[in-house]
Amino acid sequence: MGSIAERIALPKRGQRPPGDMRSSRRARARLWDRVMTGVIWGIVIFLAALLLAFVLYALIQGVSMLSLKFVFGADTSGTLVGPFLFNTFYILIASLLICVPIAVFGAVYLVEYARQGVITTVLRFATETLAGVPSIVLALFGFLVFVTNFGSGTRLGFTRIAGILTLVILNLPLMLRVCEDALRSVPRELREASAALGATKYQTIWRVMMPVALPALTTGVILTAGKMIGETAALIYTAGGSAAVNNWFSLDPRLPGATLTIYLYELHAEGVVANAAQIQNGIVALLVIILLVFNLGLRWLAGRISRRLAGATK
Amino acid sequence: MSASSPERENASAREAAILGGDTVNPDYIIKAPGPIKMRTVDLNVYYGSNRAIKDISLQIAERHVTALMGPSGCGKSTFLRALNRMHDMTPSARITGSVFIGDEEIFAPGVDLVHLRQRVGMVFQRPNPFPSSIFENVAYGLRVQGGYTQRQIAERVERSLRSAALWDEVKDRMNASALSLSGGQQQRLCIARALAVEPEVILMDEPASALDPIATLKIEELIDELKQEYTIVIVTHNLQQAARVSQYTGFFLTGNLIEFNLTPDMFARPQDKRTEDFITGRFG
Amino acid sequence: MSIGALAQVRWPFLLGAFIVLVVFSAAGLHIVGGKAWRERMNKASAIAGAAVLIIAMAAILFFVGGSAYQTFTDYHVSLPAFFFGTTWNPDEKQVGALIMILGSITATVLAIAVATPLSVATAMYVTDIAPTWAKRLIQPILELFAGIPSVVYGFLGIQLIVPLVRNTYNGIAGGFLYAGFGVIAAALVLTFMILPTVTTLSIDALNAVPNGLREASLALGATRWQTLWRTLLPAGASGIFTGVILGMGRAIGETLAVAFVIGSNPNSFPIGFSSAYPYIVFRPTSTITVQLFQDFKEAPHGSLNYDAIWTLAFVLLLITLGLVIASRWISSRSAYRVAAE
Repeated sequence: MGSIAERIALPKRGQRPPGDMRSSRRARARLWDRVMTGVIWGIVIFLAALLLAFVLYALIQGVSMLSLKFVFGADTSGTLVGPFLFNTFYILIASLLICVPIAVFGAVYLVEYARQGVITTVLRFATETLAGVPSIVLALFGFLVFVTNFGSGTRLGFTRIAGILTLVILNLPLMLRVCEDALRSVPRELREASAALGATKYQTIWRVMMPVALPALTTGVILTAGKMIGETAALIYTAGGSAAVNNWFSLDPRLPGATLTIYLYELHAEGVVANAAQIQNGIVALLVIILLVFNLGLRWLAGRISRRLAGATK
Repeated sequence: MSASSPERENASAREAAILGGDTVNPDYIIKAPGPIKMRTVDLNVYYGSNRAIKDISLQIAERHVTALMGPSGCGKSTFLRALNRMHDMTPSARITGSVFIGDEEIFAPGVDLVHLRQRVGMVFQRPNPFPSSIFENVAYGLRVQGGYTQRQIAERVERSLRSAALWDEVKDRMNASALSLSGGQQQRLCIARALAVEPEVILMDEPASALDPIATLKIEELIDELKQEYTIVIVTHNLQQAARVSQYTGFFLTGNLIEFNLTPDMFARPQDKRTEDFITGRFG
Repeated sequence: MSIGALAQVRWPFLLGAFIVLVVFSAAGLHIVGGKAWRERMNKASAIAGAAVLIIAMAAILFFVGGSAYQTFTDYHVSLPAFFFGTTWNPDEKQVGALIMILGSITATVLAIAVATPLSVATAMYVTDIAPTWAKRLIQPILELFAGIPSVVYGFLGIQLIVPLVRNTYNGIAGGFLYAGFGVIAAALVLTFMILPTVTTLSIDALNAVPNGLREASLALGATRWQTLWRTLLPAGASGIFTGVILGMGRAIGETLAVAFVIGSNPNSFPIGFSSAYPYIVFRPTSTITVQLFQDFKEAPHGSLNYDAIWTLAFVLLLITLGLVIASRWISSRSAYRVAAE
C-alpha cells in the first residue's frame, strides 16, 4: 500500500462560477423554497377549510330539523328517524361484538404465535385481497347468501343479522390489520423485559402488551366503527327493508333493519314522503354530529385511557 | 441504607473527583497560534431546559485537524452540530453565544444558511448515501447549487472521488446504486460528496466508529491528506484516533470544555486531573 | 319454525354461528390449555384461518365468475358485444358495458389526478413543514374526511359540487347547456373520499425515509424544498405510489356517493365532442358500481339482466384484485420499507 498521496494526487481547488452568479443562484433556491412552502401551506389550509365548510354546511342545513321527536320518535309516514337511528346502532354494536374479538385474537395470533411460513403469507395475502373487494360486490354476495339463499324457493328476506354478518366480513380485514399494527407498535423491549422477568407469553400479551396497545387499538376500532356507520351499499341489500314502526326497538335480529344511511338514500331516490328534502337535511346533520362525537369524543377518551395507564401523576 | 456508610462516601467522592462539577480552568484552553478559521465565544446549547453545552470558547486552526474527544454524552457532537447550524432542524434547541467563521457571525440574522453549509460541510457517524447512483450522490451538492455544466460536474465528481480515495474502486460502476457499496466505501462516498461542494471546513462526527479497522485506517489516512487543503474538526471517542490524526485536541466532559491543547502536549502532559483520568482510561 | 326447517333454510347463519363458536373455543383453549395443546392449536389455527379465508375468496371468485360466464353461454352475448357495446337495455337484450367501464375509469383517473398532488403536498407538510401544533391537527382532520359516510358525500355532492360544475361549465359556455351531473362531479366527490387514503400512505412513505438523508442533504447546502423534491420524494416514491394504487381501488369501488352525482344513464358517453363552443361536452352517464347497484334490485333471478350484472361484478372484481396485486408488488420493491411485513 503506497502512500495515499501518491495514489490520489490531491489537486488544487477547481473552477466554480463567479461569485455573484453563485449568490444569485442561492437566492433563487431560497425564493423557490419559500414559494413552494407557501403553496403547500396554502393547499393544507384549503383542505382544512373545505372540510370545515362541508361540516358546517351539513349542520346548518339540517340542524333545524333536529328535535328530540325527530331523532328518537317513530311514525308511520316516515318523517321521524328513531327506528333508523336504533337500527344503525344495533347493527354497529352487534358487528363490533363479533368483529373485535375475532380481530384481536387473530392479531395476537399473527403477532405472537405465527411463524414466518407459507401459511402466514397466504393468510396475509388472502386477507388483503378480501379487503380489496369492493363493498358492492360483497353486498350482492351477502344478498345471495343471506337473503335469497342462492335463489332457491325459500326467501329469507332482509334481516339485521344478514347485514351484521356481511358487515363483519367486509370489515374484518381492516380490523385485523388495525389490531395487528397496534400490537406491533408495542416496543420490543417491553416484551423482552416481561419475558426476562419470567412471564409466560400469555401473561406478557395480556398484562403488558394490551394496555400499551390499547390507545392505538381504540383509535383503530373507532375508525372502523365510523366506517361501519357509513356503510350503505352492503346493508341496502341485506338489511334494508323498511323498518317496522311498532316496537321498533325490539332486539330481534330477524327483523329488517334499515339504517339512517339507507333511509337517506331511499329518500333521495324515491322521496315519497312529504318534505323529503327536509328530512334528508336532518339525517345528514344527525350523521355529521354522530361522526363528530365519535371521532373527537372517543379520541379524547383514548387519550384519557392512555394517560391513566402510563401512570400520570396528575 | 445508612447515609454515611464508608462505601457510599467513597463512591460519591470518586464521582466528584471524576466529574468535578462544572469547574473549568480557562488556562487549560490555549489559543491556537496561526490563522484561525472558526471560533466560538461562550457558546451554549440548550435542549429545552437541559444545558448540553456550557459556555464554550475555542478556536479552530486553519488547515489543521482539531479533535474533540470525551466520554459518551459529553456534548461533543452537540458542539460540532452547532458549527454548521444543524440544530436549526431541532425545534427544541436554543443557542446563545457566538460562532465565527473568519469574521462573520453565523447566527446573525439574515445569514444565508445555504451558503454557510456549503462552506462548512459535514460527514456523519453512520454513512447516509442517497438511494441513487454513486455519481449522483457525489454530484448532489453541485446540482443543488445549480450553474454547473454536465462536464464540470463530471470533472468535479471524479476529482472528489479521487480525493476520497474511492475513485479506483468505483470508476467502472458510477451508475451503480450507492447502497451496493460496503460500509467503509459508503463513508468514503459521503466524504467525497462533502468534498464535491469544496467547503472550507469539514466537520466529521465520529466518521469511523461504524466501520471495521481497515476502513478506519483508510479514513484516517484520508484525513491526514485532506488537512493540506481543508480545515477539519473531528469528533471521536477513540483516544488513539485523536492522538494519531489531530494537531489540536479538546477534551469535553458533561458539556464543558475542560482542556484544549496541542495534541502531543495534551497526551503527554494533561493539565486537568479529569483529562488525565480519561486518557489513562479511568472512565469513559 | 321447526328445527329441521330451520336447519334447511337458515344454513348460512348456522355456518356463521359455527365458525364463530370454533374461533372462540380455539381462543379459549389457547388461554386455558397447556403447552402441548397450544402447539397443536397454533398449527391448526393457522391452517384453519388460512383455509377459511381462502375458501371465502375462492367462493366469491368462482361464484361471481361462474355467474358472469352465464351471460355468454345462456344468452349468447358475444364478448365484444359486452365490452364494446354502448347500449345497455337488458329488456331489449342489449348489454353493452362500454359506457360504464369508461365512466368508472374516467372518474377514477380524474379523481387520482386531482387527489395525488393534494395528498403528496399534505404529506410533505406533515412530515417536514408543519409546526408541532399543526401536526396534531392534521390527524383528526384526515380521520374526519375518512369518516364521512358515502351517502353524506353524495348528498354534499349533489348540493354543492353539481351546482359548482354546472355553473362553471355554463359560465364558460355562456348559456345553460349542462346540468352538472357526470364524471366531473363524480371525480370531485371521489377526490375527497380518497384523499385520506393516499395522504396517510404518503405520510408513512415519507416517514420511512431515514432521517440521515434529510441531514445529509441539508448539510450539503440544499434548501428544505430541494431536500423534499430531490431526495425525500424520490426515496418515498414507491410508498406514495402504493397509496395512489389503493386510492384508485377505493375510487373505482365506490358506489353510493357516485350514484348521487353521476346521472345514472348507462347509454350516454361521459365525455363527448361537439363542433360548437366549448367543444367538449359532459353528459350524465354511469359507472360499473352504480349500474350494479341500481339494476340488481329489479333483475329477476336468471334473466339476462341478472347474468349481465354478475359479469359486470366480475369485471370490477378483476380490476380491484389487479390493483391490490400491483400495490403489493410495488411496495415490495421500495428502497425504504414502510412497515416490516
